[in-house]
Amino acid sequence: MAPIHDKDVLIIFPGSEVTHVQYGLPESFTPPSVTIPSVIYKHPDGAENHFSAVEGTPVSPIVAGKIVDLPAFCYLLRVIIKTFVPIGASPAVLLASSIHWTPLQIERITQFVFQTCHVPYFTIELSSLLTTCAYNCQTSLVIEVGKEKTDITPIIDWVPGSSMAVTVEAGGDTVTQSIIDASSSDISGPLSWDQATALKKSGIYEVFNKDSDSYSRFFGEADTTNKESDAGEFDVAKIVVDGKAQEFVASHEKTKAEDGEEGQNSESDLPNHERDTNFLEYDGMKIEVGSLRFQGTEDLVNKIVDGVGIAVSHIDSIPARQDCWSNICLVGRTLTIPGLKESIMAALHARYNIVRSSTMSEIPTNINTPGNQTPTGSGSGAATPIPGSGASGTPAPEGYHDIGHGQVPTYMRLAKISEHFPEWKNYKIEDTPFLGAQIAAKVIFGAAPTASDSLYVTRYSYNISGPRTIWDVYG
Amino acid sequence: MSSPAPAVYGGDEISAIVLDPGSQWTRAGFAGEDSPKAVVPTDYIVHDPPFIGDDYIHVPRSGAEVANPMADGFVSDWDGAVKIWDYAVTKKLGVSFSDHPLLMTEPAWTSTADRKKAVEIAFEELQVPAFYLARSSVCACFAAGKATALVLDVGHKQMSATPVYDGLILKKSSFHNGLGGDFLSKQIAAKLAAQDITVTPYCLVSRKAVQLDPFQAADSAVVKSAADLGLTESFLNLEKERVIHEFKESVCQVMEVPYNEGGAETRPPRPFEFPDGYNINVTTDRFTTSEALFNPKGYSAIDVPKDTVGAAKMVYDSIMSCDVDARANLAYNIVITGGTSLVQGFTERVQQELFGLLPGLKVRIYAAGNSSERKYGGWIGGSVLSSLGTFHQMWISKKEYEEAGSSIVEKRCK
Repeated sequence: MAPIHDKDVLIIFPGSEVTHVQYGLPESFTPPSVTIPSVIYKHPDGAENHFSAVEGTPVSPIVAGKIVDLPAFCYLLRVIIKTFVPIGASPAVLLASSIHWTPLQIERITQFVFQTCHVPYFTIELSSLLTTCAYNCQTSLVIEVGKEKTDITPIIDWVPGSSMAVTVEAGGDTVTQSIIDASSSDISGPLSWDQATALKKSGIYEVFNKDSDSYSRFFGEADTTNKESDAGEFDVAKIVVDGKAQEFVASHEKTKAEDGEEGQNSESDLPNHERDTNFLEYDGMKIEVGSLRFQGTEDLVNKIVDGVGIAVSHIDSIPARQDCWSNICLVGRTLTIPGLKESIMAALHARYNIVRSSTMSEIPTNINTPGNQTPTGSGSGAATPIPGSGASGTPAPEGYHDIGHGQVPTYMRLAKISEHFPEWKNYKIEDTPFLGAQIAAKVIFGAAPTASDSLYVTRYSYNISGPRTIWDVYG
Repeated sequence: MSSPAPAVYGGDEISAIVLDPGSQWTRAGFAGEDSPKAVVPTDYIVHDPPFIGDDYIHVPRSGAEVANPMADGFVSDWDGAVKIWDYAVTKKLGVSFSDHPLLMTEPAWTSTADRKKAVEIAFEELQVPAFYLARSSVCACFAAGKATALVLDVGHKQMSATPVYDGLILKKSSFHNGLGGDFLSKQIAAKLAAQDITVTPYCLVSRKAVQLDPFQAADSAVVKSAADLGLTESFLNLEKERVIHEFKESVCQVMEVPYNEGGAETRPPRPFEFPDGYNINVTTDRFTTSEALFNPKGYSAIDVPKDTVGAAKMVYDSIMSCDVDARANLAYNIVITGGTSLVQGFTERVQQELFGLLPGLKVRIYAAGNSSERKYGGWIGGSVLSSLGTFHQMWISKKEYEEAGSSIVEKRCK
């Protein structure tokens, strides 16, 4: 069998609102070439399962991650395949799935793709697994914040822990609803759903929690979209450890306020979070918004933090739990709200991270005691980071397993995106799962088609075994 | 990206559902797979409809009571149990009971009435096309790749020792008692209470105290009042159990020899931090709590029935009550399974004690090193069993049930 060319790879990444599509893997990976709404239309003739791509009653095949209308979803797939793949080409299709899809739906989709769309190569992978490919973490905790729900999935050695995953019923809509609920007591007056959504996406809506260490670069990656230019560098790790976060924020604010007095006179020159009010541009109107623009994410953050604790407790091995805490992948468009990611991390840190002053017993010794404090094998010499000694902010070495310390996490951070992709340097957080899909597609379809551990289904194997052949590569 | 499962003849093609209902977790998944796809807490919140599953039960709700449909290792409240199974299979696995044969596990000591009831529920209520009731100890035996073994299963509510010979249990030589994970939790709770330590669950902590010295009061923690939130005792216990479970996982250890204070004191203490930031250095209590699994009379902080024996003694009793010809084979094939056997040092201690108790026999212990294989031993064995090609003839079909009634279970499922 001929090898699959990069130009024949079709990636379909469906969500409840939009579907990202890309045909052909470019030399250097880029953000998705096309994003279309995940909507098709019931054909005006009213016949059942008769759809149209352009006119009629709109149908959303995916709601909260679940496929609620399978024929409509299949129709969407067919429209995508027909639109993007030229006649005569033999596409290799990678479809990103969700833990909410049922086995029967996955078999039906497989059947549809081979029998109706005549695709020669096909595979399905969980979106959480694809996400983790962008971060190149074999063990990680993927938190996908969606519109109506958030999926929290531990990935252990590249295997998604479906049975460990937790779904929290909170997402972007939760924030919108909270804004509406709070808006009647704000200067803005009661906002409609669309207005609240516009505010949420406006950039003047941000999470600024004085109690936490937001606006920090503590939790791993530098967030280029949200860097406070005048803040300078400061070691939040140290500040948190010293328990002086509040004083620090206060003094920091004061310094900045003084700077402001000297340098700037007009309030409109101040950064958004130092102003009492700001303006939301909506439909040609200007709506003045007060402190409303700093609230409304608490419910979402709390629910995610609860869910993460439960999901991590489902992981059997304690070292794997620490690995998950050390590689948290936070994705989803809601997280483009400035400060939200940091707020979630700060809340996780405050709730779960083990910070105490006692360190004595945690230092592994070289004396041969039978206790489990004794470092064993390759782990020997890897000292437990000692909270309070100033070492907390130092990343633990790769592959580090915390043998001498039963309780985790002693350390947590956001996973870093792989550094090999210059096009993604200024990536947006909502696109990283798609980068993962591109990397995965390269790996999956790049392998020889005859390889016994093939990760995709060929038409040949489909013709022999039928739809169930998908279980050889998925799940 | 999982690699394809090795091709096995036949059986897996009917894609049976394997259901392993435990006291703490209900496990469900497809036959032929290596781990259950759905692992659901067996505790649920009483409500109409009930709140089931980890995504829902831990949400603090005023007045919500927690219930558990299991007692003595098997179902006592069928309504509640069926709802949990339905959630695991319909919601989590995404399939319908009526489309797949169902293999369910049961302990060695279920009554005939309960077994008949299980068959009735399966065919009448769940509408399964075929059914089989498998002994969980037999399943654990298969999961270890054996047909003959002495299975020590340490679960949440009970510990059992069951001899399995050529795939059949020897009922008269199987024993069980209440020494399990829940028992260990109670030991820990009692030790903490004796030191005036309050376990504050996560749901009540708004902000924990940081940088405390060991045993320093967590006064700076911001804690909500359970009474203000209207939380019930049963809910608080469920949430405290999560903390105690963590204590079990990270602090508890079984000493390799019977507990002695001198030996325990030389071990380095292990720190433990509670959700409110309060932290302690656990010294000898690390060992005394779990010692009760081996010496309940000497170390249990709660009352236990007079005839309760420890883990190794139970294995010994079970082996010695078997026919003398079988003993050597059983002692040489001891399978340890169940989540509570993951307490550090557990298997080593069983081995040590058995060396002393059975000096004339060769003792060999088999315990899966992988913790999920140990936790899900019963389920995995059920998965292996029901995907065997030769298992086809074992299923009780709906037609057979309609002809013979529920008593067919006694003939078919030994």
